[in-house]
Amino acid sequence: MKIYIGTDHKGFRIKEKLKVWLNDWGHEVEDFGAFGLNPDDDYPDFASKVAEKVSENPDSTRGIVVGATGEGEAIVANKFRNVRASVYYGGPEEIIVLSRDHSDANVLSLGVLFLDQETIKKMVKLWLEKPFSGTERHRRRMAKIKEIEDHHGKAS
Amino acid sequence: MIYLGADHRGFSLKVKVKQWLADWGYEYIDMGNTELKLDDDYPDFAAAVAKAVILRQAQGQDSRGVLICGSGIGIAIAANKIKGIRAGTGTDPKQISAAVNDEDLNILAVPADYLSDDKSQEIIKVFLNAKFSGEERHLRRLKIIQAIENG
Repeated sequence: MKIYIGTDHKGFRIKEKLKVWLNDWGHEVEDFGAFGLNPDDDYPDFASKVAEKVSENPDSTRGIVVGATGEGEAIVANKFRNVRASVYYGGPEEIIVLSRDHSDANVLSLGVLFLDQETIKKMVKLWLEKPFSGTERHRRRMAKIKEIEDHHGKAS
Repeated sequence: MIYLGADHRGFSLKVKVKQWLADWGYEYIDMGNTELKLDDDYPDFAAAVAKAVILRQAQGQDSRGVLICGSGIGIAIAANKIKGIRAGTGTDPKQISAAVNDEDLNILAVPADYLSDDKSQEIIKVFLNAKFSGEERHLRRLKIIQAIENG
């Protein structure tokens, strides 16, 4: 699968590791930065590039963004049409499972300040492997999210 | 003003949250669901609360939203679609405090299935008491998000 990744300075180091893991698991990775450790860089710049690409092919590509809490990156990503970004910063793995099973999340936003490396590796793998359930009630709710995008969302 | 919303999986917690808010002296408006309905859809309540928060903020008044569903995931996705909303999913008070400080969250999504009542209460309290830092770098990032919404 094609996977777009991006992070600000907070997630820079783990992003470099993520690239290795994703390649090892057979995925095609495109890195949208940051390309150096710059404490003054701004997370919306990276999260928006990842989300824009996922927005173009929401069913066949995925995005992984990393930040301190993960919340800002998910907020940015969710502004884009057909992007459904879920946050993970610890807690039961069911959070990861449900983000795929119920919400068909196509962007995962990781809060690196609250996670160790092994947990990140395990949760990313689980998130990539877990399919969307496709049940009628979840599809209906996703259609309603689309309606919100149409009426109240981002201009383009 | 605090706007509340929950689907069937957050319904019973919402009843408790209303009591906590009253005890803490907050004014709130319950945007539904008004009854426990197993086939209701979280985006309906996310949109109702998000629109109310934005309207109230546009009038220059302080306003936040609390949304509750099973996982806190879908309801935050739906809320974040709306211009001006910055919704975060809360499972850890420290994380939510940091996200209000940095991202000026205006909606908290609570995962009712994963939190004890005590933990939910703590996270909601932290969310309502936390303040945006207003630091230049955070303001700069929020402006980029606004530009994305308008682009």
